[in-house]
Amino acid sequence: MIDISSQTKRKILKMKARVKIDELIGDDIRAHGVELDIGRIIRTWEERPGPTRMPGIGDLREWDHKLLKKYPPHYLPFCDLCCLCTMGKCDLSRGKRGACGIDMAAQQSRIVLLSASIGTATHTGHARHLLEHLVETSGRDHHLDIGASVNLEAPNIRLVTGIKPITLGDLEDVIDYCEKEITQLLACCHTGQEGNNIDFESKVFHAGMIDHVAMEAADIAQISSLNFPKGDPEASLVDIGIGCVNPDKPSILVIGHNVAPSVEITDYMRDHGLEDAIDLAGICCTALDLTRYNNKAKIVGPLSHQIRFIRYGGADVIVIDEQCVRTDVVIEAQKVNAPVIATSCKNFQGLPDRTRDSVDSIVGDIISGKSLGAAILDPVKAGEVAVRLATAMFPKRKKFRAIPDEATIAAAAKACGGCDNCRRVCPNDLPLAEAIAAAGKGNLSLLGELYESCIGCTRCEGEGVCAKGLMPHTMILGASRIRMGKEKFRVRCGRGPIQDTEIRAVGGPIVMGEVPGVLGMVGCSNNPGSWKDVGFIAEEFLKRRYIVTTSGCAAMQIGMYTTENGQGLYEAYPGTFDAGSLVNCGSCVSNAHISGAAIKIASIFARRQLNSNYEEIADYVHNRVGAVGIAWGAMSQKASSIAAGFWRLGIPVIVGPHGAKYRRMLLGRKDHDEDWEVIDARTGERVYAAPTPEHLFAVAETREEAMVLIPKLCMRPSDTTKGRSIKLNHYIDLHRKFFGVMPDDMHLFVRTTADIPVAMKEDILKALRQTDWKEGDGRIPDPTLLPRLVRKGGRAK
Amino acid sequence: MTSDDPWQRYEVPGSTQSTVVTKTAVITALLKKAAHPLIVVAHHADIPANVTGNPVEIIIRIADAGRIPVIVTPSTAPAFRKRGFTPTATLSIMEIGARLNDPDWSIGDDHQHPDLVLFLGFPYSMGWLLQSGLKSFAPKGIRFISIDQRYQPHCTLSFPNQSRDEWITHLNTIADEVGYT
Ligand code: SF4
Ligand code: SF4
Ligand code: SF4
Repeated sequence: MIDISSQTKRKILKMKARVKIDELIGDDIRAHGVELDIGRIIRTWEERPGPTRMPGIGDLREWDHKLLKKYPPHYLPFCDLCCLCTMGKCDLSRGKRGACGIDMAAQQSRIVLLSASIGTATHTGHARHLLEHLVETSGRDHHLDIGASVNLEAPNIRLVTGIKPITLGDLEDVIDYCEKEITQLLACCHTGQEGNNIDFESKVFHAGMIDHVAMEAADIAQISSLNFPKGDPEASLVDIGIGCVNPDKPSILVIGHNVAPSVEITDYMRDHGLEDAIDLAGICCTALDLTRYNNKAKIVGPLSHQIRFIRYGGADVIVIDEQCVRTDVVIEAQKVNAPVIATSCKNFQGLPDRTRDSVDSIVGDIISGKSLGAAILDPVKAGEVAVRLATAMFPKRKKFRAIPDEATIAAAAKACGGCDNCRRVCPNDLPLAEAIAAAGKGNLSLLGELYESCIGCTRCEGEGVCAKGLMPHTMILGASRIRMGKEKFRVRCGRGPIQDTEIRAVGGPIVMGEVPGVLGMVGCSNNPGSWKDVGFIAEEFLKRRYIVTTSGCAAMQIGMYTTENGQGLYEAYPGTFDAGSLVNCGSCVSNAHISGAAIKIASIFARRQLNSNYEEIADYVHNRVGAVGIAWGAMSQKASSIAAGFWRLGIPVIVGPHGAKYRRMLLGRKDHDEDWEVIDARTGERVYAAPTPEHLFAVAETREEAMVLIPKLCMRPSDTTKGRSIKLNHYIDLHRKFFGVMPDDMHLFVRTTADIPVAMKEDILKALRQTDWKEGDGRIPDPTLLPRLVRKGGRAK
Repeated sequence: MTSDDPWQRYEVPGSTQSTVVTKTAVITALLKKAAHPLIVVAHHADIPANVTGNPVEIIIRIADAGRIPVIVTPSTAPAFRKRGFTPTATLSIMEIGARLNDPDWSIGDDHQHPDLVLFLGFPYSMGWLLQSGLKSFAPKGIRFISIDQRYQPHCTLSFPNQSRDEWITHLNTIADEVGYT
């Protein structure tokens, strides 16, 4: 008989179990090697479950509708038409409905839902594949350890699923749940399903919430199994930039997001004493995660560095895994004679599947030129092939480049007719014709100046774009090749989660408003201008003692920026989760630690119930935690699902101009007083709490507009007078700095004279007197949107 | 270089697209006829000082001559204030869109919803998207007119793609015509 003690029973989670019994002896039975597989055991943990354990797509609808009433969707249709089914195409513009009955608002929300579902599916698919690999290498029973100071190891997972994961195997249940929800969400996009835009939006939020659960599962699995930094504020500083990759050594370039093949490459190099003989470098999140495993590895740069580094000739072999990999990577690699190894079944790129072939035969075929590369779905084998290929290709390739020299560019540029066709396909509307005309006269500096603002999309080199056959992007690279060789910076590799002790230390100051805000600088490299704008924004808020958290390509771009005195931001600012600190959590999937930090504040600092209690925690975060996300260069569907996860927690997100192409914003109306009432949980009274925060999803036209919006969106109804005064000080100061005057809406945020920053008191009072501002009674509500949270004695009105 | 295809070639219009207007007199006549006109300006209107013909200065002339309210985006406001002009309101591009879609929203001394809106100075794709939203969600009957240098397909009327000199000339002509009563 197998006895489970009553204490253990209480702590048991929902889990799968496998019991092995070497020898079983009973009255009527004697057996050897008995194995029992138990599908699920339901266990509970110390905290009783709240109302929404593993919520389905409709379970948090009421909460979503509350947020969407405050922040109604504002649509920016990318297309007048819908072409989803064979009854179409349908014109939905100007109030028309499609043949299925759908209108433009619902159609836009449906597309937003599709985007968020794709993003969530991508992180969940990533988590599933990574978990399968880690279970194989570390075992299903591998104990999750993400740091001694991180007792609340999985805030998103515990909050949403009620599971307190103890082993890798527990995460399989988490991913099972995510996959089920994604299936339901995708089903909602079918013709003749959901028809109401607000209900579509609620499902977008659901996709976002699931996304953060999946990301958290992926990251705690890899932190624990691969021994990544475990909430370490002093995680290593590593090299970043094209110039960090040594041209005198064989090199391997990894691109993508699933670190498993890169880990195997590292292990093979270590096992064979090749760590110093070969440069291992990466692009995108695979690179960030690789440096969490191997701090000698290098980061080439964000997504936008793919084509430029390949054409620069720096890679002797290119290993791709999944997500955000150029879909023309094989064609580009051919230009510089570099073979490509595909390692994910999500991304074969047309390469033959050689998973079952011997390493010798794969390497032989590629070196002889018989094949351009191979798909190898076994990460261990892919690791060995990559290392052996790099060594063999290095002397053959001689770092062959597809970038012209200055003289060649100047000669070619003379043919330019100035037709502007290249500019008219450039997403950043870069003045290519002017730069090329100057190059034709021998001045390549204008081309070189475009290097940081070019996102490397190569649209300007598309078939038929230039009648003269010129290649503007290649010309930009040629004019920048010396600079590329010198591009060297430092970035702190991802530290993973925020420690519980850090939350205890800053939870109070954040909720009171005395730490002016927590920024989550996330997203891709689809910037409207120079990548340095991302670092510029980060530096301003670090100086102002905001907590700046970051991840993914944004974290890299912050690293590729230097202060006036030439220092990198990761060198100048500490990595603790504290005021004036720069916290790189890691790759895309590490975004869950940023939302997780907000959830932890509610759980650890405010002691709110966490287990399956989403609505209450989101209500707490929305009304008290002055956090805001900035995805300046957001590009992908994953960026949309990450943002959606923040929205459901009530955390605002700002995007750069290209973010308008997500085609809907969630904007508050500060001129509608009735939208900004909260319930005071002490009394049940409804009180005006000002537009705090004013928007849930907003696009900024310029870097400066974003920087003024940030402190404004960090204000919360719960701010103490000291906290509000600090936040107002930053808002007004930045507004003056960039726009020359005080903001015209500050009367909305000054509750009493005690809120006014002392240094600006006279100016502000003078300005307030010119409005209809009236001093409030100074009572700061215990704010909530949920009538059920009104305390005994009070009654929701 | 005048043409009526979207400046950004891949930002193709939908089932309907703006009528190209090359005669400034058409715009001036509509402006004068409108009961509640509005001008909306974004930051590309502020051209560096070394280039002749600043659209901000021309907009100020148009606004003063026609007594037309002007909403500017936050990054555009300093260019107006520098020239001694206080815009009627400062709102972000998307906030402007949300308010124009709201039939109950009003601006200006007459507190009416605008019936004609001129747009200028928009980063191309942001203007494109804003105007696409207005095409489907704004109250019916409002005329949206893009007077940017590049053709915008989602308005009622739009200037064609044109050279900078042509554009400045056209803007100046509108200012002259509006001032001439
Ligand atoms: S899904 Fe509806 S709107 Fe879209 S093409 Fe089909 S019938 Fe038309
Ligand atoms: S590669 Fe660069 S210059 Fe060419 S279209 Fe893309 S962003 Fe513009
Ligand atoms: S498309 Fe060709 S000819 Fe035209 S401006 Fe660009 S480089 Fe010159």
